Amino acid sequence: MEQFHLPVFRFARNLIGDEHDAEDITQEVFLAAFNHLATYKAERASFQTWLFTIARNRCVNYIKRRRPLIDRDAIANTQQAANSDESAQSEFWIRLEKALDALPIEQKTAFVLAEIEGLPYADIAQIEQTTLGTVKSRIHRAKQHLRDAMERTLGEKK
Amino acid sequence: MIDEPMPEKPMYDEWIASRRAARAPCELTDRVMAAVEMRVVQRKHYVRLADRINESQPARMTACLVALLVGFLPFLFVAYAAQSFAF
Repeated sequence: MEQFHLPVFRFARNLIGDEHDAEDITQEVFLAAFNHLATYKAERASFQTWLFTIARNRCVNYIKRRRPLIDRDAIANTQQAANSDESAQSEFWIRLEKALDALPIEQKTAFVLAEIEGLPYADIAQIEQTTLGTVKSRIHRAKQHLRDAMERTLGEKK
Repeated sequence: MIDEPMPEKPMYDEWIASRRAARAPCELTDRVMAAVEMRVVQRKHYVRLADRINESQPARMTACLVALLVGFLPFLFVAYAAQSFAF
């Protein structure tokens, strides 16, 4: 189990932003997996892909339910104050965090699974229950949004 | 569909690396294992209860009686409520 809980936790953490809620979701994912273990078919997907599918659905439900409570600006200001030496990098990262947060949920999940978890596009298509082409297009659009955010930051500095 | 290179790629790569480096709290594994274990115990408890009902006649009769009582509750409520209305 240990080899699976970290990727699931990291995925939830990167998707929803809150560490405690990510822990709760990780626990829910493993309980749901345990309850529905009989429905898992090894010939259809790997166990990790199956777990990520459950995690993705739980996270999407969570994001739809929660009210917009994350005050990224406050976090950003605290971080900036704490690391004044690294303010350029912090600013850059904050912009990226904000851009990632602002992505539509389907682009965000695809981006996190591809870029952070390093999953193959075919697995992501299974998790997202969509076609390979759609996954590629979602990731492309997500990267485009992040690129725009980075270019805006660089433009402001010049 | 070819992705253009990211501006400031080293910083972007560092950001991705920082996100990949997210570590789960040490107690998370224990917490998840404990939750799964509790579910196993609960399930065993239900299975044992079902077995007992299946094997013993008094237990079967008790289960039927409880089911009948629960099934009758709405009728009892309607009968009680009907008393408050004058027809």
